[in-house]
Amino acid sequence: MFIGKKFNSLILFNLRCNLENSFQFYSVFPPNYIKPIYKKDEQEALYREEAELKQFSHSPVKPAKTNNTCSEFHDELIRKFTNYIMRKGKKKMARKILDETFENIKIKKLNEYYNTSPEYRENIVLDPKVIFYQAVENCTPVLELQKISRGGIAYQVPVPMNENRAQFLSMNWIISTAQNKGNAEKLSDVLAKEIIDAANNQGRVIKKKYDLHKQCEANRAYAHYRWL
Amino acid sequence: MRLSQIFFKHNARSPQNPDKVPFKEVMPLKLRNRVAGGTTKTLEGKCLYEMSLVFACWKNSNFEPNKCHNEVQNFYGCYNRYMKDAALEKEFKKISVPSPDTKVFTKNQITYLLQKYPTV
Repeated sequence: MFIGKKFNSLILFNLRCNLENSFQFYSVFPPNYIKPIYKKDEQEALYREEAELKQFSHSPVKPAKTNNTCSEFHDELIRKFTNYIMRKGKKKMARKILDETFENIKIKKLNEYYNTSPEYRENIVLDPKVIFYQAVENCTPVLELQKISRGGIAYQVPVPMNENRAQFLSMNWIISTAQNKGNAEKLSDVLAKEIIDAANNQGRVIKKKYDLHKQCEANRAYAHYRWL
Repeated sequence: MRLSQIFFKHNARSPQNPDKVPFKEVMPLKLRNRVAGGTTKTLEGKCLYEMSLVFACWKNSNFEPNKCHNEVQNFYGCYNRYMKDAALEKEFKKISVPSPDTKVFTKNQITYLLQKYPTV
């Protein structure tokens, strides 16, 4: 655990610095610093709009993080998912599990591809990334239940949530249902199965989502407790 | 004869004449230079109607996937709008000095004006 000490710079008054030279916390940068744009297609999109580019061209930029790369294998959602898989800070392990998962998905899909007759082959999606995106989208819940007490009774109140939270729940459900299986099967095998199922709107994760939605529907009478 | 009449014959407590009672000022007789007040909570713009539409759609389609896409999008749109409005309102409440052309004031802004131009 690093504990960085911060002090205010004598030269640039609005800049706070870390004492350690080896690393810098993002929080030392004042809010007028913008986040770096490191993806090539995003940069090109920025160059096309002149007004936005002018705004960006003279503003100070935070340094890019070490995992920010313009590689085509870098994907924001997959990076998030790797971090959610990670336990005890073992990122290498998490990345390995995800790689194996995608490999398994590809193998299963190719198997399915060659076992079907040639007329129907066009409909089968082989790209694991596309399947993963579809799975995350299918598992995303709309509402969640929150305990709110009124008059000494705790009610289960259906409340809307922001997109980040919904996406997190979706990905976390996929991981936790895969981990429920125990040690009999490898996590990468179960994850692959769950992701393919979720992409087809089947399986335990989708069932979990519908159970939650049904509970929300049953408690619809208490929805106004969120605000009153 | 009643007992009370005997007791109060010579030293009765008759009601006071209000015109003869001297007025005593307990607190200063002018309005204070601050206002207190909260907001009344309403359900307006809190997306409950949109939520009910989603519930109705789910009930009609028996929770089948991809049936209620429009309703859900509508609900999300409403909720995002609400979040944006709430954030703006929060920013507005932070400002204690009103700008010259505002018509709506928060209690802090009115207090600021009253402190600046106190009641004489």
